[in-house]
Amino acid sequence: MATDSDPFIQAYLGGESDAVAEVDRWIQGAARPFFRRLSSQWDDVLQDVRLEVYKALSSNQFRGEANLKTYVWRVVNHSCLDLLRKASRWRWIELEDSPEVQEVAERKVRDESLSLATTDLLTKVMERVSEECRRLWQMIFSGLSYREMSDRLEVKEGALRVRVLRCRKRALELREELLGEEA
Amino acid sequence: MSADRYLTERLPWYLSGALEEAETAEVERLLAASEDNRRELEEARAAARVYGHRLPAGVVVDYAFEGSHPEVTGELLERYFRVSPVAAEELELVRESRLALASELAGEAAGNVLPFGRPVPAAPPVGGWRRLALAASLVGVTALGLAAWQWEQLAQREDLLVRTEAQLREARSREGEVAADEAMRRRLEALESENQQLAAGKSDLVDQLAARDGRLEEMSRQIAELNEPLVNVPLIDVWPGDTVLRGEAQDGPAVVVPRQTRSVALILNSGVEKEQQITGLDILDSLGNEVWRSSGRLERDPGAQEGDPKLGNLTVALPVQQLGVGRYTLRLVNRHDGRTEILETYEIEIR
Repeated sequence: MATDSDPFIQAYLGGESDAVAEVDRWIQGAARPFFRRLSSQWDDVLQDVRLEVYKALSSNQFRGEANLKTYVWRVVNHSCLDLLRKASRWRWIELEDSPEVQEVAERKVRDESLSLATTDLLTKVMERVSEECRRLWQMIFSGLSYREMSDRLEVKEGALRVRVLRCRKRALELREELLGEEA
Repeated sequence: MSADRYLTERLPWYLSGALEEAETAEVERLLAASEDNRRELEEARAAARVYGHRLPAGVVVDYAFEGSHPEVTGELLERYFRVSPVAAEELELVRESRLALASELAGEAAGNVLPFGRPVPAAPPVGGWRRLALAASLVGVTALGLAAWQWEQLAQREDLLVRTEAQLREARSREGEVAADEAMRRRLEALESENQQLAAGKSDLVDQLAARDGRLEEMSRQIAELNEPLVNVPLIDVWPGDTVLRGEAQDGPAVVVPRQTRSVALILNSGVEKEQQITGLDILDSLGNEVWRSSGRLERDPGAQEGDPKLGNLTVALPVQQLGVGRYTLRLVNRHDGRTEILETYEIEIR
């Protein structure tokens, strides 16, 4: 469907400097909140986001439901979230697996995430675990080592590791209980 | 064989990549060595999927921009973001970005500046068969016009929504500032009031301090005097019921002690039987108020011999300055079983 933004999109895709500069200004404005989390690779992040925006506009994904600026803003946020997740050093899968196996495993994780039932179940689990458990695991996800966590929380390293282990067991127990109830 | 504790406790950080190199190597060695250890790794991953569960990025973006998502209920999303710190952090970043957009759009609306102009369609050529074509396509044009109008309405409403949100935020910000100003003003008033009260109380405090300083000075002087050795302390023999200076009989109901004297030594010539215990000495003023009371058994002259008339002597150093002018009764008593038995009384007068 043609939109009123088409001439501007064409100008942008055609590389007209004013249009490119304007879209780039939008991209930088939209991505700015992510800077504090991705600062070490910021130039690469912006390049990746520019590419995503270009792909989205060149493949006619913009339907004109919102104005173009809002659309670009959302694409940027989507891309930044993806990049933020990729930046995590989290090992969801075996290190020695082939790229194909990793791709399948990552897709499986994404599919699981998409599932409404999964979200509902995990929300219930998270509502039942303690605030402390959520906080401890949040710190782990943010990349802190147990020594850094120990310093911040003023808890001995050994005690901290045991607490995290208990939280791990508690979450899985609750998940099993809830799955049992649903079955 | 059960899983290795060293490994079990470190797996979350192994998965997050936050272990030191040597620890990572050790964990990987242990993983390679035992099936139980590899099962532990899967358990840790399963727990991480619970704590670190993330919705697809699109859902987070939709929720931040629209407040909803077609596939997930708003109520579930609200609960989810409330209990998932990882997801909540992502949502916060997207919301921050959206606010920046709203601010830009509001600024454009206020300045009546459009990011790019809507194209003005060229005037259609009119004439000949084109009139027929125009008439024939009237319905289609009307429909297109209606769609365009609807799109325009939607765009306007979206802009209006964004502007309203920005205005609301600005108003809230102003309200916040006004509330903060008001709170600060009330705090200043309270501080000023406290200040005035303190200033008013200050002179009273200064007076009280001066009075206390004077009293302290007087007490220090008295302590210094008390610490000085006393010479020529008057020594007074006193018998029950009458009083004489030592060595010379003196009539009168009470011994007179000059008030200038700092202290006198009274020798109480007690006639209390030797076997009778004296357990207290009380001093009462002329109104019968007790001004001093000793406690504990009083020993009489230990050097006295049997048949000695001074067998029952008791010696009392009397602080004349502390007692002040007046008549006093000294009372030897025996306190037992909650009762006070008066054994003898002696009268003195300070004047």
